[in-house]
Amino acid sequence: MPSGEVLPSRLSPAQRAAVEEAIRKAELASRAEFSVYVGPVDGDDARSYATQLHNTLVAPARSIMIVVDPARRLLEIVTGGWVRRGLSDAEAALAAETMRSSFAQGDLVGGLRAGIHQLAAHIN
Amino acid sequence: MTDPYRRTAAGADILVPVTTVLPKLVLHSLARRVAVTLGSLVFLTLATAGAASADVPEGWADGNIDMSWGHLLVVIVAIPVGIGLVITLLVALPGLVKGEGLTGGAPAGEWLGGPRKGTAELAAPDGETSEAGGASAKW
Repeated sequence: MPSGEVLPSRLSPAQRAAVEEAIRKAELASRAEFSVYVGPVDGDDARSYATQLHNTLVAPARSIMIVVDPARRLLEIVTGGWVRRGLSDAEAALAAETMRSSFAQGDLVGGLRAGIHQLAAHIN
Repeated sequence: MTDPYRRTAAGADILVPVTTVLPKLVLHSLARRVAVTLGSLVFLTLATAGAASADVPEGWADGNIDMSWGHLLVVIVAIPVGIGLVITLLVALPGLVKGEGLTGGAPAGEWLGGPRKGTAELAAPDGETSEAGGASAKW
């Protein structure tokens, strides 16, 4: 049963800028590429759609794809092969839990920023 | 011509300015002549010009057109609006037929750090041999 606040389906310009700033800082700190998709996920298999987005990026192996569907209340994090050497799936799950907690309280931007920061910090 | 060098009592050479300055009087005179010439040309052109006239081209109405208000409204309002509607319909019809609506079927998602074309052309999903990892969550 879904619970918590309803997240906005779109980011305001200020929110978008805040997330982009978090992405820039994370990329500088980790040397990995970060990408965030906020919107509807096509199909029932969210993981498959997230990997489609991830594989469309310029360098999937060095990229982290974060997919959030506010309407369906689901989050997917996809890490490329190179990223995975420094960021385990368990560490990605910790970041996912951080984001999930913020999203459940209705804080989309705060959750994204915290999760991006946490992912970057874990990459060695 | 001015000697560019001067010499002190001790015999040292002093370099003096050699740039020639155009006197203000010459500039004023030149400007006055140009203004008078241009003014005269304009005056003569206006004074000798006749009234412009031309015959009505063959096949054109002679200016005495009897047009009702209804006809005028059709010409200046109904026809342009109709043309606009036809163009709009031609543009929107393909998307409406495909069921994409008026927005072209573009998803409302925002992709930060993604490609410019957005989600229009996505790569294939990962298969069995994928090295990708990650995590999932729901709330």
